[in-house]
Amino acid sequence: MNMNWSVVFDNLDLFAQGLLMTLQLSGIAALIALIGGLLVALLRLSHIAILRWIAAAFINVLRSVPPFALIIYVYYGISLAIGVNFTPFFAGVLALALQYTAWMAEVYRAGIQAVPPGQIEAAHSLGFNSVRTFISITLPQALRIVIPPLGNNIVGLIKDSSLVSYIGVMELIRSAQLLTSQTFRPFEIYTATVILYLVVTLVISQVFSYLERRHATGRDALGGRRHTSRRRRARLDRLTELAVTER
Amino acid sequence: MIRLRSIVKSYGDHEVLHGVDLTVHRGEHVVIFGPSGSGKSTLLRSINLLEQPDSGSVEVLGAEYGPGIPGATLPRGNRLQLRQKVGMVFQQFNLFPHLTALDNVSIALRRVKHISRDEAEVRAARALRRVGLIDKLGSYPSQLSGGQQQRVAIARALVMEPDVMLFDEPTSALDPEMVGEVLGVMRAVAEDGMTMVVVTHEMGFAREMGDQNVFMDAGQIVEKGDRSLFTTTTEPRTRKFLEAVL
Ligand SMILES: Nc1ncnc2c1ncn2[C@@H]1O[C@H](COP(=O)(O)OP(=O)(O)O)[C@@H](O)[C@H]1O
Ligand SMILES: [Mg+2]
Repeated sequence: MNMNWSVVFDNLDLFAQGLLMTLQLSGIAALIALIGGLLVALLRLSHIAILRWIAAAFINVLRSVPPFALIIYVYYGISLAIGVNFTPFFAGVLALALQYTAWMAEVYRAGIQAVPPGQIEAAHSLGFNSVRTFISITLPQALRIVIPPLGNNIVGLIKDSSLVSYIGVMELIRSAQLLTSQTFRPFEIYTATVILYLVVTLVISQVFSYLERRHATGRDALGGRRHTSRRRRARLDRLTELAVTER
Repeated sequence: MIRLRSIVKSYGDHEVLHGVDLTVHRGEHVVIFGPSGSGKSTLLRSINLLEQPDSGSVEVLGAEYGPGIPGATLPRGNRLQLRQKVGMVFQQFNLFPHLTALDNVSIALRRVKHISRDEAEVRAARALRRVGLIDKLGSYPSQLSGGQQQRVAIARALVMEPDVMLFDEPTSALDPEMVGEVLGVMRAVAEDGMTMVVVTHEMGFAREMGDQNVFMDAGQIVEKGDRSLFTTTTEPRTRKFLEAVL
């Protein structure tokens, strides 16, 4: 089989545009899902039964719809029902954000519930109110737990964003399709496309394992014991001296 | 200073406290002992309302908490304020694993008492010196031994300058060689005049520090008394328990 990689190198701008669109699409959706997921998880754990119930329904319904079906449903179904024309980009972001909000809500919920109740009791015994306890004690510990699964979800979201090509967003896959129909070099073009997905996925995984190491402490730090800056060290030394010398 | 009256607490249909009364005076060191499951922790935790009693009155420093008793005249208190006056040390330490020793001890000063970071850290360092851990300011709990962790936990409670300190089996989760260092710190705190309520099986500590010694069994206080209780008790359940732990 004769290959001609110039079709890739001559069209780097097209790949770059496609990649940029993929990153925008999944970046915005991921941002919404990271925040929305936490909010839905809080509703899911609320003391108010009706809020808990609504959150559970949201999570269960959205997790059971295939992503492709959801994208089509949002683009053709919902926009028609409410009489507003969604742009393909908007529909794509909305569908991905909704679905990954549901996935991430379950991740956050598990993380929050994994924080031992003794932590919350200790905070309460010091006079922390519930909101303060959540922000200062529960959330930081839960975040440490959820960093790896959130990373996996974001990788999943980026891969699912390829489905948005179907409704006409010029992301990586759609760009590759277009280029293939003009050049008839599917092998070279899709090889390049797959490599680009691979690179993005690897970068995301690396970022998340860095975050995981940074937020681990002590024995569970996997060799990445939390770094004590020189300024922090000096501050601790000053405090030590102060406490030792007085009285 | 603390007066518990007719405290009743159930989990589901299992009543674990059957109307308990306990009075603690300022500066007094109260030791509560008794078999596992007798309700010691539940009683201790109703003093700072970590457990909300089903009925009965919790009076601390002139204010009333909990369900109350009909005809009570004291002003009602707010539980967040109550907890600033009552320090607690747990069996499992419950240090915050994501924070250094210094941050564990200073966080409540900053987040609850809204004291500046600089001032809070100075006070926290002093509290850690008091428990002999001035060289561990930057250590995370996972880098400390059990005895050191429990001493950080004591400093974390002390730094809030509580009127009373509650200890729930503070040495039960420790390896034997670390029990002494924690009891030493508790003894020093007691000798500084702190009011203390201590659930413990360390009868040596009770004999030495216990002004009021309380024996609990099956959700009730069986008897209480001063240090002579240990030698003079005629109550068979107390005798049996003391023989078993000694
Ligand atoms: N959160 C809880 N839910 C249900 N039962 C509990 C709970 N906490 C304590 N109990 C029960 O209450 C009784 C008294 O417990 P506790 O106060 O911890 O006893 P002690 O501290 O004397 O060992 C035990 O039978 C225990 O099983
Ligand atoms: Mg107990």
